[in-house]
Amino acid sequence: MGYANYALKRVLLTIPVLLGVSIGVFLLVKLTPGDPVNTLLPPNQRTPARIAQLEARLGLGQPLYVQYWRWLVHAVQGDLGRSYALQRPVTELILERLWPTAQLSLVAILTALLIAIPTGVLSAVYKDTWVDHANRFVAFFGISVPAFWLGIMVIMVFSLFWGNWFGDGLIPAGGYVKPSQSLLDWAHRVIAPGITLGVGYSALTARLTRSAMVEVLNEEYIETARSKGVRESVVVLLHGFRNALIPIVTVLGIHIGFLFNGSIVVEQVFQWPGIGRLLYQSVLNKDLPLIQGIILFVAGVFVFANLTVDLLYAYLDPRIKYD
Amino acid sequence: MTEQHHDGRHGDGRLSVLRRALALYGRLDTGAQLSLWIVVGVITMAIAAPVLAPYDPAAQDYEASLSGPSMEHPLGTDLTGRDILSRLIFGTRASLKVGLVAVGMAIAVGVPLGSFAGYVGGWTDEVIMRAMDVVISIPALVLGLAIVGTLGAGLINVIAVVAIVYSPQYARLIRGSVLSEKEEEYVTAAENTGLRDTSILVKHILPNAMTPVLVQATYHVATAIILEASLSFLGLGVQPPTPTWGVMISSGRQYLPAEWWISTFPGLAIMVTVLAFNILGDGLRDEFDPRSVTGQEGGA
Repeated sequence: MGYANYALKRVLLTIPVLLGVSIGVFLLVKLTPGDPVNTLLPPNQRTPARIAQLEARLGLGQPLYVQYWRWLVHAVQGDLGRSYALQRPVTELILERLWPTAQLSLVAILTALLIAIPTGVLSAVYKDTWVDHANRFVAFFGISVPAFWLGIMVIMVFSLFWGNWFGDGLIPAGGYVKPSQSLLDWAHRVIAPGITLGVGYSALTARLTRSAMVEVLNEEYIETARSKGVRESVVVLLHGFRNALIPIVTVLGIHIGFLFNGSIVVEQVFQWPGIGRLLYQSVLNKDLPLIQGIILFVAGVFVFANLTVDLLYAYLDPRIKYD
Repeated sequence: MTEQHHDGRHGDGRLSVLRRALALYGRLDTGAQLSLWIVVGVITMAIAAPVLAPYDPAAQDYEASLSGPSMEHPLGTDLTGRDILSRLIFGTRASLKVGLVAVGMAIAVGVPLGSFAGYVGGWTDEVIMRAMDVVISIPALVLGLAIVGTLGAGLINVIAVVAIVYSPQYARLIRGSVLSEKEEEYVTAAENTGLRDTSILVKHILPNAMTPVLVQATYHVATAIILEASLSFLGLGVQPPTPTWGVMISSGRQYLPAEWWISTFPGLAIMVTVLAFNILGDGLRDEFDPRSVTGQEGGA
């Protein structure tokens, strides 16, 4: 099977997954105990006119599959309903919070690239020496530390204690400034939550960079290059790292989910107005339309991220078998 | 239909399991051995919490309110004067319940689904595995928040969350193993002797496919503990007054930085426990998966 066929099959495979997610998300409302009208309308808006309007929109009297279809048609057109608590369109809220989350993720990914790739490569080159063991141990810590606690500790040390010692915190204890307002203030605020989020991700990436590099460095062409007298640094970086990059990039893509899990708690700890915090607030408010919208959106992003990674991987690596 | 020839070993079965476990322990590297002891220690704490804890975890002592680490309270006290060390020891219970019970449930759901899908193949396989893809496509904590947000907070729901979130990974893992084992000669031989599909699956294929499941489970216990702590920290997990590490961290936040011990120690407890499960998982993987064995000098 050629690449085009593989790509087509892979793209088509996302359809049942997305449909499945949408069915699950739709059924969330049905699982919630109580009258859906009460779950979707705040008490002060439960006037007969609003209730009738909502019932008509949801098609409540109709069979479940008709209701689902109506909801899906709206969702596909970008209409995810109105937030129960915030009284604004869900799509608008998500788009507004998307950018702050993206900023944190970018800093986290940058942290991961700067820390994880050099340490991962070093670990592989000096495999089973103290360098490797030390890196491995540090990476274990990075994976095992809960992001929310790390965030609290970072605030405690670099903002609160630092403030006590030197009169002014090294970093603010949280909050958000738009980069368009003041780039410097923004950078000052994004750095701590971004790195906090990046720690676990870096550790994960370092471990996977190491194993990818170890595998590549065992390949025959590396031996061939060495036997031809190519300098070791050139062998490692040019021949080794270049080839290990494919699995590393893949892994970065696959673990975006890990990053998003972290961003929920990190945004909460640092009062960062991103999607994670929006989801948390919507859960506290039992704001079902917003919960539904965010899950659908996030799942959609991940399905497409995985799709992109798979397609790229298959495209870049000619050895892969399309099955 | 039961096959008797396996029972020949049953006489010294227990002994050989113990002997094999000891041999396995001997082959683990120092880090993994140490981690195993930490895991055993944490499990002991959970079981023997009432004996080990110096105080009742719920006992309030307003005179000792917010006192720092001392001989009397080695890890200090919280606002109502409850002993942090005792709450930490009792907190192992919630973490391990979620870690062990929920991951066990994930295996109990995922393994039958995945092996069935892999063995039967065809449309059944497609439907089951696409359903698993749906669950995997949503990040764990997002799914957790959605489920807990809909069904309500509490230990049972957190366990349900973990079981739902992780079961697809076991289904995928075991399906892959079943697919490759299916081609092995011994399976064909068993089929030729007229054994039924289910007994081939249960007696021959699954035992061979369970090792990666065990390794995966060790890692999952680690991430499940973090997931539980995160949900508890957000106020959506196990509810107070039950002592849990996540709730302890969150309740101590408002007393930072002066009363730093309230949030710091439970976080360290999570980190050490999770670290132990992760290192143990790596040790087991190195032991069972020959591709990743680092060589004879590979001890840490």
